[in-house]
Amino acid sequence: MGGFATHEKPLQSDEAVKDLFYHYADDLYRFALYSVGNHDDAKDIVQDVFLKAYRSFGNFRQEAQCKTWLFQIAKNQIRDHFRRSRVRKTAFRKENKVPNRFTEFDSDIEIQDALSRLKENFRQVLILRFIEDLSVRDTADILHWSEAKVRTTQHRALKQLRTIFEDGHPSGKRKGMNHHEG
Amino acid sequence: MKDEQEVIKRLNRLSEKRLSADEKNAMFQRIQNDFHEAPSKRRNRWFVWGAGATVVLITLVVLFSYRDALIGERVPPALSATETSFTGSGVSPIRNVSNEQIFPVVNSASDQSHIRTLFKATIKGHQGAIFDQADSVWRDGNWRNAKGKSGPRYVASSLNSGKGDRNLPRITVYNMNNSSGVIAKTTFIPPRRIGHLTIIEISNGGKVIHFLSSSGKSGTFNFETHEWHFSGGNKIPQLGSRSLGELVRSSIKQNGKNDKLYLVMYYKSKHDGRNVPGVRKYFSQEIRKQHAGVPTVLYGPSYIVIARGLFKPTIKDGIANTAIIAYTGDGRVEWRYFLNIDLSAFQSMETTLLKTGPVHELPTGPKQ
Repeated sequence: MGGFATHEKPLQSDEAVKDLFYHYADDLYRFALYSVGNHDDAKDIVQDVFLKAYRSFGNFRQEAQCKTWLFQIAKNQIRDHFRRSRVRKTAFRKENKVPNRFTEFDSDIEIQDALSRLKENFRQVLILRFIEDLSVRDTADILHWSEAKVRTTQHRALKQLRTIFEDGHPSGKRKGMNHHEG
Repeated sequence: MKDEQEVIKRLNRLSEKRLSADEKNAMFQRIQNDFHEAPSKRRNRWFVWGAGATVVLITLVVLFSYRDALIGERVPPALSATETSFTGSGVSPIRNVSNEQIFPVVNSASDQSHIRTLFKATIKGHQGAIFDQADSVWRDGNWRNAKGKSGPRYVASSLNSGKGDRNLPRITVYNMNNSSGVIAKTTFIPPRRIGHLTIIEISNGGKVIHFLSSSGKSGTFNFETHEWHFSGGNKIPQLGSRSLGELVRSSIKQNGKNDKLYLVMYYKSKHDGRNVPGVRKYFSQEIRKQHAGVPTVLYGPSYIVIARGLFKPTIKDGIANTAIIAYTGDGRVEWRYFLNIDLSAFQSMETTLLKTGPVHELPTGPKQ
C-alpha cells in the first residue's frame, strides 16, 4: 500500500493531486493498459482519472484510501471506454500469431495477449491482485465485490489463464473474441 | 504449466511496466491545463445555453403578443383612434359591426379570449345564436346581486330572429357567470322600428346606452326607467337618381382623399340566413389574396370588414349585405349606406361601386 493511504491533514488539491499523480500514475497506467490493451487509450484513461480526481477532490472522503479511490475511478473510466468504443479486442493482440503452447508465452506482450482473452472481470481481478499487488480487501473495494467473490473469481481466472497458457485459448478452445462484461 | 504460482509469477512480471518521466510530466501538464480551462468552458457553455434560452423566450413573448395578427384578426389602423374613445368610460365594446366603429373593438387580449370562449361555449345555444347575429355586443363591466354572486355583464343589440316581426330591433342584457353561462337575460324592445341598432356607448354606470340605427336615428335607452329617446334625422345621403358609384366618387371628391371610405360586409347563407363557416373562410381568403397588405379584418362568423380599398369578390353564391361607410377626418361617420348585393351577379365590386350596378338599399323598415 502506498504512503497516501491515509492523510492526517486535509489535502490541498493542486499539490495533493500532483503527489497522487506521481505516486500512482504508473499503477493506474498498468491497470488501464492491461484492461484495454492499448498504450494511448491507457494514457487517456489515466489522464481522465486524475482530471476527475482533481474535480472531485473536495468530495473525497479522507477515510478512504487514495489508491482505492483512484482505482475505482479508473475502473469506471475503463468501463466507459469499452462502452464508447465497443472495442473488445485490444490493439496489441496479434490475431495471426496465437501461441499454442505454454512455453511460447514468454514475452510481456504474449502474457498481455493471454490476459486479453479473459473475461473482463477475470482480467481485472488478476491485474489488481497479481500485477498491482493489492489485497483481497482492496480489490473487493475497488470492484465493489465481496472478498469471497474476489477469491472465487481469482481462482477461476487463474485456472482459465493457465488453460490459455497451455492450450493457446480459454477452455481449451480457440475463440476469436472475448466477451466484455461491462 | 505446472501450477498457479507459475502463472502468478508471470503476471508479476507485468508490474514492471511504467510510464516514462517525460510522459508523466506531459500528462500531468495536460491534466492541469484541462482542469483550469474546464470552468471557463463550462461557463461558456452555460452562457450559450442561457443566451439561446433567452432568445427563445423573447421569441415566444413576441409571438404571443402578435398572435392576433398572426391568426388573421388584424385591426385597421385608421380605426384605432375611435376604439380608444370607448375605453375611457370603463366599458369594453366587444363587437360593433354596423356603426362607425366598424369593428370588433376588442380592446384587450383577455376580452378577446373571453368572447371567444363565450362564443364557443354558447354557440350551439340560443345565446350563442344571438351573439352570433348581433349587431353589436359590449361587455359592460360586472353585475352583482344581493346574494353576492357576480360575473360579467354583456349588452347586445340585434334584430328579432324569432317569430314575429324580424325587423324589430331589441337590446338584451346578459348576466353571465364566469363559465360563460347565462344567469339572467333581459330583453328590451324599442317602440319604433329603426333598423339595426349599434351601441356606441354605455354611460352612467351602465344605466344608459347610446345607439345609432341603420335608418340614421340616434338615441338612448335607460335600463332603470326603461325610457327610450330618439333624435336625429336620416343621415344617409339619398341615392336618388345617382348610382352608388357616383355617390362614392362625390364623397371622395368632397373629402379629398379616399382613405376614409370603408366597406363593411355581412355575409350570410342565401339558404337559411345563417352563417356558413366554409364560405366565410373562402371569402376571407379571397379578400386577403387579392389585397395582400390591405388591413382586413375578419370578425365573427358573419362579418367581414374591409378597410382602405375596394375588392373583387368571386363568391359564387349567397347574398352579401354590404355597408359602405364614409368617414370624416376625425373618425366620425359621415354617411353610410347599406346595400343588398348579389355578388354572383357582378364580376367585381369595383365595377359595381364605381361604374354601374343594380344596387338596392337594404330595407330598414318604414320611414320615421
